[in-house]
Amino acid sequence: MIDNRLVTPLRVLMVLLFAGLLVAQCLMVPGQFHDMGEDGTPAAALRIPFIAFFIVEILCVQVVLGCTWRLLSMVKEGEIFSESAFRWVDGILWAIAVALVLWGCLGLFAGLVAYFGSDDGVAPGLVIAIGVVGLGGLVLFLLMLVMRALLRQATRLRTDMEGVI
Amino acid sequence: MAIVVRLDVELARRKMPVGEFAERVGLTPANVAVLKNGRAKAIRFSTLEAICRVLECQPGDILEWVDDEP
Repeated sequence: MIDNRLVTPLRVLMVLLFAGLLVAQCLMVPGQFHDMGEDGTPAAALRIPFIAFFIVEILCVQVVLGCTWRLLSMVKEGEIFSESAFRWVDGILWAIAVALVLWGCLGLFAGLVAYFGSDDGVAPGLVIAIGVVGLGGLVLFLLMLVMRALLRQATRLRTDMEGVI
Repeated sequence: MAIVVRLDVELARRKMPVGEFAERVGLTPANVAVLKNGRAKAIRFSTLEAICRVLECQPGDILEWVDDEP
């Protein structure tokens, strides 16, 4: 059985993280991009897409947090090695996949602007930073796939053991 | 399953009720039912030992292989 001294602090931090993301989503992102570019310039036309992009990205992180919360409850109840756990693991995987695809689009867009755009457009360093973050996300995604396979193995072992009289 | 558990025969020979058998072996009645119905997939040696002790028999008296390949 997993110690409550581990689960409870983790949950408190997750709630804090969720609240922080909510503030960023509702206040900071719209505030940040509301004044982007001069009115009538191409940059200004990107305000709404950028706001939508970051809101959806943060939403993906929130979905991951929600699914993790559910899985944590199952761990606490000792029900993690069951078929119903895979729904939430798949939820995490889908959320990361959506966030990665969107992030890739952002990277592609930033790369094109940096390459073809004017000199004062997007700095190449920013493109590299986006790429590194994307790479990190990809590693996380593949790691989740490995953990899913491990959960599958453990669930099968548990089911086999329950059949032993 | 090609391995058949002949628990009924031994229980009848000892004239032992299923409830008493379950209690003395230390199994739940549900698990005894699983054994008798042939739905068991695996059995611990410790369980087998307890069954043999209670029924005063050998594993071969309880377990039987039946060729069910076509």
